[in-house]
Amino acid sequence: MLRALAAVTVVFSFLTTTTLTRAENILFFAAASTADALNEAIKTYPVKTVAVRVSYASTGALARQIENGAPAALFLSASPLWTNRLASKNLLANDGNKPFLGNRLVLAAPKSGRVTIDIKKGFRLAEKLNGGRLAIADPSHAPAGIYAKAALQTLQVWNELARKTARTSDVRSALALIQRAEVPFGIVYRSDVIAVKDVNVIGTFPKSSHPPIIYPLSIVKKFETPAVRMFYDYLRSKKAETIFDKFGFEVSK
Amino acid sequence: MDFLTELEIEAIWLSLKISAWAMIWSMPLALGTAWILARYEFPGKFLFDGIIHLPLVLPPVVIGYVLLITMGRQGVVGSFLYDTFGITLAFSWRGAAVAAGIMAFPLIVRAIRLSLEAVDQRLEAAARTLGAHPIVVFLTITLPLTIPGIIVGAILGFARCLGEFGATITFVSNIPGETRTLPIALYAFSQVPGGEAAALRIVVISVAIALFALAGSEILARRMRKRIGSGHD
Repeated sequence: MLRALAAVTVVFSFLTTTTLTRAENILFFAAASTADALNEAIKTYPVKTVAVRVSYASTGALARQIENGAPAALFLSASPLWTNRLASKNLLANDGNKPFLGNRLVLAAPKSGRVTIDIKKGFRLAEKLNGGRLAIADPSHAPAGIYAKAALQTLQVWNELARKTARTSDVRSALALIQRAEVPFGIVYRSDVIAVKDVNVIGTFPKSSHPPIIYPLSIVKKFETPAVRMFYDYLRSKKAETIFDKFGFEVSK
Repeated sequence: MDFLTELEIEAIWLSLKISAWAMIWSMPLALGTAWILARYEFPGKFLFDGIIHLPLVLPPVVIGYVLLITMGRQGVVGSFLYDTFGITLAFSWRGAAVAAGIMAFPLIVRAIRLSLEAVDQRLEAAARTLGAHPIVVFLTITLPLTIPGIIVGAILGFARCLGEFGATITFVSNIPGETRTLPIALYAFSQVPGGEAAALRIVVISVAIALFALAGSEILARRMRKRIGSGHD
């Protein structure tokens, strides 16, 4: 009995000392669409005394959690709408709400389909759907869907396409529908299609057709520490930039 | 109806329609399944029972994903349905009714099975010795005695259908006027900054529908109990 107690004590003290020497955990909230790139950026972070854990979810869900006191120190949001709201509630560090990544919208199709369409004003996407649906993220809330709707409106084809869309909860679900050939076309981020093999990019939407796609990177004021600031600076460094570039993002200067 | 927006009316109507159709296809099947589970012993019964309960155990998203793979345009069942009957389930309210019915299925089966197991089989035997046809026995003895379980199953199932979200959004996505039910509209509102008020309205509507349905079924159940009770006295 005494021996068991001693063993428990030893194990316990070992656990506590290791967590003390393991310096710091950083909890990072990030939009699901940034997962691949961000995971790689974290892997190459040279400071090994810091453990960065990331919770990937929809921007809206994460922002609400931060609003209600979730202990996230960093927030990579897929839309300035949400960070502006957090900033207006004075939750973000003053200089910690800057554009970080940019992205582009692409029209994508399953690998099996061989279609070419020029993306331009009044292009005949509705006809090419051929009874199928156009997969987009839900334009009533998902950022990718909001941009997609704006682009189709600029190109004056939204009215005929609106009723032919399949609206998914997030952009990755739209991508999954294209991958499984459940839909003949879909609109997703360029960064989404870079890593997948069974999807063809038909074309990229012109930048002028939708509001700029901006991912702000923010520091949550309440949980800012020197280690958080260091990691934030690393993400904005040249080294991290090449990683995000590789995954199809544009890095904002 | 000025106090409801067009979107809300549409979502309410869709929710009720999808749940009703889900119950229409799943109730008879659930009754049959409960009958088999309550009355028969066979090899593999344990496994069969387990499979029936899968929708209760698995995350709804998994069920939605499986439905999409099998019943989508490219799926085995989906392409068969499309080629032979011209029916598409994916991205239509019919698919939502299939998803909702599957999620509710184990709940309905459990309720009916409990009731079936409680039926005194000597009553059925007595009726048969008096010359009643097995179908007549089922309709006049077994079914009336099982009614409480069937009602409970129907209430639980209908409630589950109304609240169905995960499998539905994965299988048929969120299409206004086609698959945007109350829970899906609620989710969409909760995802935009400033959408709280609209989301809260849907919560209130859902609660109101639930209370109405509960009250209605309570009245129905009381009447049934009275009828069965008066038969015994």
